[in-house]
Amino acid sequence: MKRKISISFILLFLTLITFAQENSIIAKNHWEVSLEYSIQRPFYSVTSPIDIVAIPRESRYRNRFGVGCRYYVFEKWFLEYNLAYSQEGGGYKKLFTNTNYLKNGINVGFSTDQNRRLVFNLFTGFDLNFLLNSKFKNQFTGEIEIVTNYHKNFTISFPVLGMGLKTKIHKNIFLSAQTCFSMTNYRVSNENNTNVSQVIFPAFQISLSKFIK
Amino acid sequence: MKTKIIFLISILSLLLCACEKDPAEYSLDREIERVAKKYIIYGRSPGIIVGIINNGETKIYSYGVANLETGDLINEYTIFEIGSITKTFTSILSAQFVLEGKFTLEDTVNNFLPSNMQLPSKNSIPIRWVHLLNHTSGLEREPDDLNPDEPFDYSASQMSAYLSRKDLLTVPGSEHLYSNAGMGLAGYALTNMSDSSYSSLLKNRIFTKLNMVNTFCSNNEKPTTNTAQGFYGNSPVDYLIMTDVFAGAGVIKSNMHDMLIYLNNCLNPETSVLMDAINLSLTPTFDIEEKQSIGLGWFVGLNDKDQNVAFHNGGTKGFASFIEFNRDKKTGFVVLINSYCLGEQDLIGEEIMRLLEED
Repeated sequence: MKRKISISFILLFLTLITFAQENSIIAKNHWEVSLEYSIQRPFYSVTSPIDIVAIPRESRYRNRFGVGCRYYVFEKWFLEYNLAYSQEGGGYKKLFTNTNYLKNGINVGFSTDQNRRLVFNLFTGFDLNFLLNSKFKNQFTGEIEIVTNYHKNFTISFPVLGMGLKTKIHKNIFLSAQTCFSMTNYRVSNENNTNVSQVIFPAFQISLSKFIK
Repeated sequence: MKTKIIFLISILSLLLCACEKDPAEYSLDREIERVAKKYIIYGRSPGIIVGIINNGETKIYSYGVANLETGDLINEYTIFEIGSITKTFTSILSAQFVLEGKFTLEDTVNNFLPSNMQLPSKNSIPIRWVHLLNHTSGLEREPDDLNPDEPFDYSASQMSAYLSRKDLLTVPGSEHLYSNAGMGLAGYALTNMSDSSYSSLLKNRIFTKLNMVNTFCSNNEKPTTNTAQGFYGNSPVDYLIMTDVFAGAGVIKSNMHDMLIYLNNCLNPETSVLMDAINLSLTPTFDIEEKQSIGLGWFVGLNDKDQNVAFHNGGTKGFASFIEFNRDKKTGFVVLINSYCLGEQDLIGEEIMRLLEED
């Protein structure tokens, strides 16, 4: 009996979603693909998360380029995958470490009605990061040292949080502006005794997207 | 032909052997370099310098820069604030006074302070010299009315007022509570009884005797060049202003060259002109936990191999430091960093000591 009731509820729920999606862009096109660019401020946090807020950091901005793919599971809820080349690291203006990652982001998000002029969206998730390389640069001396072995080859960023606005700029072309925060709590340092988190805040992302018909 | 090839291979093998570095030495260098350098790579500090004494040999490793504006490199003569390592100097100074019969460690400190600056007591137990020097006085870490911008620019009258209104946290001699105020007052009592500034006392009784010519107390004395800029995150920080009531807790500025002289004297007191005072300062006076005690100023104890070690760290708003030595293995090191640290200097110290002890 319980099983029958559960199945009935699921069917009713799916019917409601189908009705809701009628005439909307989502009803016809569940998939949205995007090209993304972010300018982001990465910095290292050593030892304790307290120092993220307590200690002033350098505002050194770096880039991130990527492609994304969203699948609208329901009218307003989506799953998202991004593949991005992300320039991160930390340090001071003329004495810094650049670490570059290939990031695989998996997010779940909420989006307001796609037919409106401005669409608000909110998402959270995690990134699986593969280290490509790491270089320490002393711009006073011009010295560049490969320091890839000081960093873990694989890390996970969690949480990744973001929100933004999207608007239609052409028939099926959308422009989005988002701001994001991410933290690699799972330490990026390859040294047992040194707990280094990679924090990215703020990040400003613009992306162009298109629903696939 | 065969003979010629064998001959050539033999020559090449010999050359390779000759060029090969001593594996043990190479490994220690590489490991210390890695420990020190990672704090620069992870953006924790603009600069770091590590000096070691091992197997009778002195080595210095420096990375990063002394100043983020100029990019000046750090060398053994670059001046840093050493922060609380100053407390070990105050303790050796006090030990000298004890050895000269000017007071005993069990004497009540109030007898040596001005009449308008008297330490409180608890349960009728007064604060004695040993209590100030081993952090068991029951005094707070610092007075509660410090100015956040210049915390140690604290006048004698402010200290007098603070002491007259404040109760001790614990009974003197009963618990270990690290206190900058306590060690500062020990230094102040020394200046009061000798009618001399803390700076003059240190200069005449320790710096000059050990030939530490690049070590200072006053900000006016430090050189204008080759001075590390301290940083709090990415913000430059001025050198601390410390009045005589706090000087004994952390006023000293020094460089690696001089700190290695100091380390060598502490590591080998039998060859030092301050032998008896150093030995007295390293004698345990209070057990903090198993294998961990405090002497006068110095944290002393036994390592995993039951060897005698002594250490002290230091930290100000713009600098961090660490000194540790193993008296049985005759090895030790000093770390100086031009950045505020949240205790990472202890982790660096722990790693370097392990490397030296395993060498």
